[in-house]
Amino acid sequence: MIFWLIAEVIKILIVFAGLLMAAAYLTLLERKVAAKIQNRMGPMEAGFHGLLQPIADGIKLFFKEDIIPWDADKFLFLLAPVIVVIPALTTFAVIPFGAPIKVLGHTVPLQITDVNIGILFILALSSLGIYGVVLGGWASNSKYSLLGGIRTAAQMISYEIPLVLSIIGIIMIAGDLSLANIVSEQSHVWFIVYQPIGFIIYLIASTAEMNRVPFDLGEAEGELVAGFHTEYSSMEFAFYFIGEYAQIVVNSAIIVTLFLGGWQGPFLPSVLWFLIKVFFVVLIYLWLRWTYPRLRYDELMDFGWKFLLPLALANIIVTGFIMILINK
Amino acid sequence: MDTKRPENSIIEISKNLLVGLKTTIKTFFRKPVTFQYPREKIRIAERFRAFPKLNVNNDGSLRCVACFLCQTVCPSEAIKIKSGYVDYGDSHELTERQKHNHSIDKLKPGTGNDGRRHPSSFDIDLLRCICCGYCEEICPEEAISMGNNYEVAFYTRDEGIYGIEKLIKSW
Repeated sequence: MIFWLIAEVIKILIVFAGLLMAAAYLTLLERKVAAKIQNRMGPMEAGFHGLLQPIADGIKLFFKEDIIPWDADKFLFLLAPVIVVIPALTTFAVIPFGAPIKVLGHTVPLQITDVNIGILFILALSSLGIYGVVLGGWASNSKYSLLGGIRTAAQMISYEIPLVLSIIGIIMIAGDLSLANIVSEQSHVWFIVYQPIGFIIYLIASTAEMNRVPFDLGEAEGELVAGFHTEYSSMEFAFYFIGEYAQIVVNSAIIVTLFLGGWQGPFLPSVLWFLIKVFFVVLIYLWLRWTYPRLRYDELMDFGWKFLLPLALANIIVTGFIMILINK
Repeated sequence: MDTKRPENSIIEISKNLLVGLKTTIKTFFRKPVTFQYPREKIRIAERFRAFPKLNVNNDGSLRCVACFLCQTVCPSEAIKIKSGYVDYGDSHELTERQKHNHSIDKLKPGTGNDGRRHPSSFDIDLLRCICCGYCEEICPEEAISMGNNYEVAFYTRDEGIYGIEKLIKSW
């Protein structure tokens, strides 16, 4: 019992610190990738090739003046960034990031907790993140923030549906909601082979879910200054940032778990395989971001409801038919 | 969006999306075209010309003879010259023309001059200068020519007026 408790606490600490570090260094990676794609060099001043840049940014944001607008709803204004960060970090609790290891004769699964409804847990928490954005946009009491919040709410609700439906195919094939079992089901063939359409839908819908370019209507800097976080400064702003980047890491981890075989892989240790796969999925997200321009708002809604949703439904039906045919 | 138009078909759109991804992945592996400016500097072309500079003889005396041609030709009126005699002492390197017309021999002994007029002050307002190179072209003594210092910055407008000292040294 004591051993289990200690192991659990150590795992939580490692995952928590790792996620925060990853979120911080993702800002650097994002800037570097952007620079490479635009034939620039990116941050080069702080440390070797800008390696200390995230730390410098963090220190800077920490010491910035904390401005709360006079008219803002103070409680919600301060609560909103927290609501963004916590679900993003908590989602990682059910993601298995390595094969079970043996420590002192006990088997320790490398997963904080194996909930038997893991996928539902992820979906529930990731949709909680919307509240942070909407509340932040409303509580700032500024027109740009409000517009950004409303847009984000509409966008997230419409993209949540194809996101969920794209996973249904996986659940049908795996026959299980627990992520540990889904990973072990993929020991021979990754689910991306069975569900290529589902993978693409999930990739697109999760990009929209995370409010990233080309779907960053909520913070369209050309029109809305910075959207829902226009009025935020200092650490509250940093919280939004951490939440956003932690979401990228977590979403990549979800994609790896559901479609790319989780920690499964030959030769290398399983945790390393997991990290490599997550890194590549993150690169795909960055690649998408620095390739496409932002969609217009009606195009975004059209795309979500008229294209992604029918496609996701068709994907489920086709998957079902094929499964019935094969079983016969 | 009008989905009936041929360029809006799903196949065409997804093809174009992939073309976009291909373009960015290509530039991703290309070498950056920017450089770390204050530390690395761009290699300037041999015929690069920036602001004018004043040339001197080997003994350090000004080549300028205060003929006012550059001041006259300057389209933006950036050059202000005052003529006067500048004592450079007795020993000079004679220019080709001085050797030819023996102008120095006609001087009274002990004048302490090379027998030529010199500018007592020669100011170029770098804020007015348009780097057109007319002054270099018109100068009969090759006293003024275009340098290659493009990094000129100053805190006040007065600092932008470069005198003889700065025009000789700073390039």
